[in-house]
Amino acid sequence: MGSHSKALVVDDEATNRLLLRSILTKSGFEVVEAEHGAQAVDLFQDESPDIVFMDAMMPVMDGFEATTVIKSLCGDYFVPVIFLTALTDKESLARCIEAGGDDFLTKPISSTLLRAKIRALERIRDLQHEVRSLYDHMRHDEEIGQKIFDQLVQGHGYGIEKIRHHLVPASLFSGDMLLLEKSPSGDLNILLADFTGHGLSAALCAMPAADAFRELTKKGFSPEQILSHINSKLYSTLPRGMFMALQFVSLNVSIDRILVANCGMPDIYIVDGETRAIKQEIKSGGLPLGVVKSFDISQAIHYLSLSLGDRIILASDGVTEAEGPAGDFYGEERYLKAITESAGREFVVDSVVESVQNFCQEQAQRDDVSIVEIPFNQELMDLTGLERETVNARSGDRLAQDEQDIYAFELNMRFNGKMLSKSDPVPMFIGQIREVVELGDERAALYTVMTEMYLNALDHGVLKMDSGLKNSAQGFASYYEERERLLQALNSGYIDILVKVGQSARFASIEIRVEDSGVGFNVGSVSPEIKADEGLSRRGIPLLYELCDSVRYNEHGNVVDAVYRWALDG
Amino acid sequence: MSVNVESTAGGDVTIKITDKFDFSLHRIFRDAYKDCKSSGATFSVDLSGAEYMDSSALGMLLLLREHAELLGGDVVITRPSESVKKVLTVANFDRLFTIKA
Repeated sequence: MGSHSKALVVDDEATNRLLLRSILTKSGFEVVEAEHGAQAVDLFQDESPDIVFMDAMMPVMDGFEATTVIKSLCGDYFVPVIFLTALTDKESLARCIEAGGDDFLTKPISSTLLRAKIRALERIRDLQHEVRSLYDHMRHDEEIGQKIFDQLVQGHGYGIEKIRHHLVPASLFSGDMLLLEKSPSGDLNILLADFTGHGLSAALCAMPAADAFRELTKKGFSPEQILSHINSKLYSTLPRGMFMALQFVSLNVSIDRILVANCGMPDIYIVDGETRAIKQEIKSGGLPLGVVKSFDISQAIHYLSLSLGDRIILASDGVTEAEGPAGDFYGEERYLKAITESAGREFVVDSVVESVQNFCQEQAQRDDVSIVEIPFNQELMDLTGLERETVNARSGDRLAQDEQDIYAFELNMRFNGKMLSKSDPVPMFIGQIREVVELGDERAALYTVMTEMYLNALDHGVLKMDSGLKNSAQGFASYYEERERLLQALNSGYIDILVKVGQSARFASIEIRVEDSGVGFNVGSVSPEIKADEGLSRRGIPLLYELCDSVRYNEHGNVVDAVYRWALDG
Repeated sequence: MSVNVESTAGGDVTIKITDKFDFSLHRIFRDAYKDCKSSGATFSVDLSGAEYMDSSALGMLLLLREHAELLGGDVVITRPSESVKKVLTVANFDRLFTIKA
């Protein structure tokens, strides 16, 4: 302060005001005067001074009251108030500070001391301005960031309206993210991610992950491939120490595959739709993504067998770590209780949210709270796998082969032993096919056909697993444990895939031959008729027959030929 | 002080954390080890006094691990409480760090 600054001098004695005016004017201040507290308040509002010199004892309104009012009028701005008082007792001087004053000087005023105190208060005021300015910038950046984040990340969650969810950030930005995306073969992939910390930095980390999740799902990669890719991407993009914990669900009714993965998050619960009893817990089985360059994601993945009506409950640790007024945590016990006691309420999520809110009351939220409920009901199942229209359309009349199909393109790949446990070749094949012929609406069905053929060859041909095992409850879990064990140990066997693509003027045609090294199976035992709905439309091989123009097994059952044709638009 | 540092003559460093191991300790924690450049040093993180640990703290441990690896040394986590140990096991950090009771 100094030149161009305005000082408000408040004192009931004219001589005191005059004295102060002369000291301040010499320092470059413009001075306005008030005779008592009430006048000071009025002048403060009219003149907006940069500093106030306040006498304590005055008629009408004293300095203490006036200071309290003036400080409340200041809002975010720091306007120093220095008491200039004849009072010398400690209690009175302390009261000056209590009333909102920033400092005091006792009369008679020393001009040296006064100037020194003004300088000290200037420093504080400059600091306060800097803080406020930084904060304003930060808020501004966060608001822009939030808009972009919403667009890119949260914007388009396929099917999100079918899934009950409650996501509440601790601050403007959430470090938790919920994504849904559908693959061409009908996988519905759901990801609940929790990034290190929260706020803007966490949200920034979310963007490469969201990008990768979306892109890879849309390209038809398998869950293992998607999570593996996200891990590599985050490892190379994010600074050391930043990572993504996740709970992941992939549902595909057409190929009968439901799997979950938990990397670094609290238990995923499978809950009975009616009784709300906990049927299964899936614990964290792997490192969060982005911590190490690569790791075997399959340990964190679990295949599930669900009954109609079951709910999958995903939640971040913001739920169990929510803090109550006594400083204790909501905890796992209360969480489980809220789930099991939700019977009678439509959604488990609502019961848990209410319980957490009752526990926390007015306590400030420390971490982002996220909880998601995925119902395994018909409505959601209709969103996965192939759309009914696609299957119905394909099941109709077969296209007459009245034209010579010209095969423009042949692609043959053979996968041996160890390679089989590492990759899913289907997206690669589809990618190549798309280079040759426009797939359009056929893509989803074709993906399903090839995936089904490949998985059969792998599971029943090479790994020699018996799918009958899957039908019992205990059998189901051990089926996938065994499958994983066999895959890890695999170093023999092969799957050979030959694809021929061609088109004539009116039709496009794809022949797929999949041969595996297995001994085959009892071909006669596979009936082309769709088995009566087993509650969840488990399709498998019968679906192949529905979608393809023809399906033929060789004698041994280790070679399958499928022909898929469709009419090209005009 | 929430972070206490002890260095031995051999170059090993012990960092003791008390109360909450969270983002507020970010700078002090890093200052505790960043000047230690002894080749092959062992960094011990004593969590016996830590009542709470969050994901930022996990991140801080990863940074320490990177520092130790550059020196050819290692990181040992000692005496975590039940609840803190749980945070480490859920994150599967027992695969990255030796944890001693």
